Amino acid sequence: MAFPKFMLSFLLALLSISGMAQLSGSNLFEFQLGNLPDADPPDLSAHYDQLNLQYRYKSLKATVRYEQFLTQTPSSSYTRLTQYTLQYRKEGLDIKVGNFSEILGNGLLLRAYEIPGSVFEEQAYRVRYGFYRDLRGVSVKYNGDYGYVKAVRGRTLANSLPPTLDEDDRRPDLSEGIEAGLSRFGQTAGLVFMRNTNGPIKDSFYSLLLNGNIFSIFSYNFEFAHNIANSLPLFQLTEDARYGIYASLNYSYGNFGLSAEYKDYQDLLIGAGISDPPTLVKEHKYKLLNRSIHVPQIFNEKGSQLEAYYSFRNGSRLLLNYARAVNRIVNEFIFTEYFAELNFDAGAKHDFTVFADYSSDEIKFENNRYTGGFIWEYALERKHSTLLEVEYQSVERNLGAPVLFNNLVVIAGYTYSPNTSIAFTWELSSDPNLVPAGEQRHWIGLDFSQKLNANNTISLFAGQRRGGPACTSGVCYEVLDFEGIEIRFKTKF
Amino acid sequence: MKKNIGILFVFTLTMLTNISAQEPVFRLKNIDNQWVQYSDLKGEELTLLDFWATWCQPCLRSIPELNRLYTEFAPLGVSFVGISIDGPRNQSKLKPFVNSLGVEYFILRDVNSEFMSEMNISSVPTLVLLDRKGSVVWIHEGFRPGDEELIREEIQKHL
Repeated sequence: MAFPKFMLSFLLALLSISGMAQLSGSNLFEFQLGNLPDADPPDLSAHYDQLNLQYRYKSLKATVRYEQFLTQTPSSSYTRLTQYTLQYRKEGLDIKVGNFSEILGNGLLLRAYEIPGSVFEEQAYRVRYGFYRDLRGVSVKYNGDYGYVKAVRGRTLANSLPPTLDEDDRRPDLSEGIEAGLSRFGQTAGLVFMRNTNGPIKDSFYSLLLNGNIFSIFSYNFEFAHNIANSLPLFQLTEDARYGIYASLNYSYGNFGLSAEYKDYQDLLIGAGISDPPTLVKEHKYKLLNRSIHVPQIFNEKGSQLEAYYSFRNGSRLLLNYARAVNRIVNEFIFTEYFAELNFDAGAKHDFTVFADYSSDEIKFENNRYTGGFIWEYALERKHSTLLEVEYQSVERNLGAPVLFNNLVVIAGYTYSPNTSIAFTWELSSDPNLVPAGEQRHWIGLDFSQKLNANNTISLFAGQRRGGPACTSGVCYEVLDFEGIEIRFKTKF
Repeated sequence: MKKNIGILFVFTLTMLTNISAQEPVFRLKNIDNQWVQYSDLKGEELTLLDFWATWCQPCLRSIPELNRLYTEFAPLGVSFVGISIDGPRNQSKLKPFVNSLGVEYFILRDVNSEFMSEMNISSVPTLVLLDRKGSVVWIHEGFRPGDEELIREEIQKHL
């Protein structure tokens, strides 16, 4: 089956070259040689390729995505046309047939997304594939000056299941939804109705939306979602109900900004997991904070987040964040985090960012997590710059006998802008989940990237990469440990 | 296996031979929740798209520099458009955050990274410079101290 699909894309490419069509796209090729520690078998020689082709003619667009993973285990290898879409878009009308991303409201009920450029792998399958959770079906949207309406019907991908499985098995949910909103005087009111079918289980929900601006200095966003069941009222905020509340109020004046958010999610795990409500947990770029992030439990979580920003006249920036979440799972588990970050210039050539973080996540039995560090960038001369990043974390874990352990990240990099960069990463941990008590484990890795021209970039990683939770664009997932060599070749055309 | 690798290699070569130009098509919401499209925002001479996110440190470091460049080049017909790829998680923070930074150019929301994927962008920050026809004339990934000079040179080169 793979060859005819390949031929289809090949013909598209030939058409494009001959000037009969407009074609654009990208390709990501990745080769890994090494091993996955803690996996069986640990040795690995694999390549992954993702080819995206877009053909556009006036208001019509056709896209296809091929993915291929070849490894020494035949059952883990595949070549598949994983996405195909035909889209018609004109003025406010947007119609898609095939695979697409979509969100209803703020994502309390449904969010299909893509993390561009990311490759995903589950330890259970050890198969690499693109990181997206799309819908396969039909989407119709119309956006006008005074309102909008969108309707979707499609099978949602359970992205923890790899393309080696049957496509029907990977898409256990049939999601159908309609959302409409009216906008006047800077305010929008909307309504969502959604139905999801997962085998014999059918769930229906409605959602009320409100968002807008007040006096140009305030903005707000509110959503209330609730399930529709014959035996239950349409508005019930008890622990046996299924609902979600999200509210935010934001203020900005001059160089000061403030955002206050509230969440209350009760049993919002719909189907195989098609919802993605706002987490209200600070999204961190720092490796250690990203790895120890609180992952919301959307079957039962209440909480709030407060974030303040201030930009000084000299260009420095201050950010303060407070987040709190409460989970009731037999007992009550509380997560709290305080985060502060300051970015400032020290002369024309130095740029500093310092941060400090304290958190406590009882659901992980990790109390008193202290994290701090800095990023120092120094412009040596025109086009040459260096970077030093240091992060240190001390964690107290109270699962059984209390233990205290540390994590450290040091990154030293050099860039010859805009084409060449090299970075050395050293990580250290005494986490008893990884090493025997009193011992430490090291990860040393080297990253090199060379932009060959405007459209082609080659990257090389050699060494050890520490795994663990990671979040990108608000979506959290597990990264596997890796030791060896990884080559990536990215092409745009 | 070798055959498949060969096929993909041929494909890659095919791609390298075909650099096509297409005007971007988008209809996205701005930070005031109003729909805008490319034709509303494109510059008379050039348009600089900045794909960024509130959680991306290099993005935040680049914004004051882009603001300065916008002030310098806007009178010459260069439009700057920031495309935030923040997901639902950070949507409410976007407006106060942008205002606190004093950003003067347009900021749009690409909540599901659909436009980013359409432009074949895979990382932030990425700058994409478009000419008056909407063709991509320059792409720059990342931001390091001193990159503002590179950006200035590229804009001047294509004006």
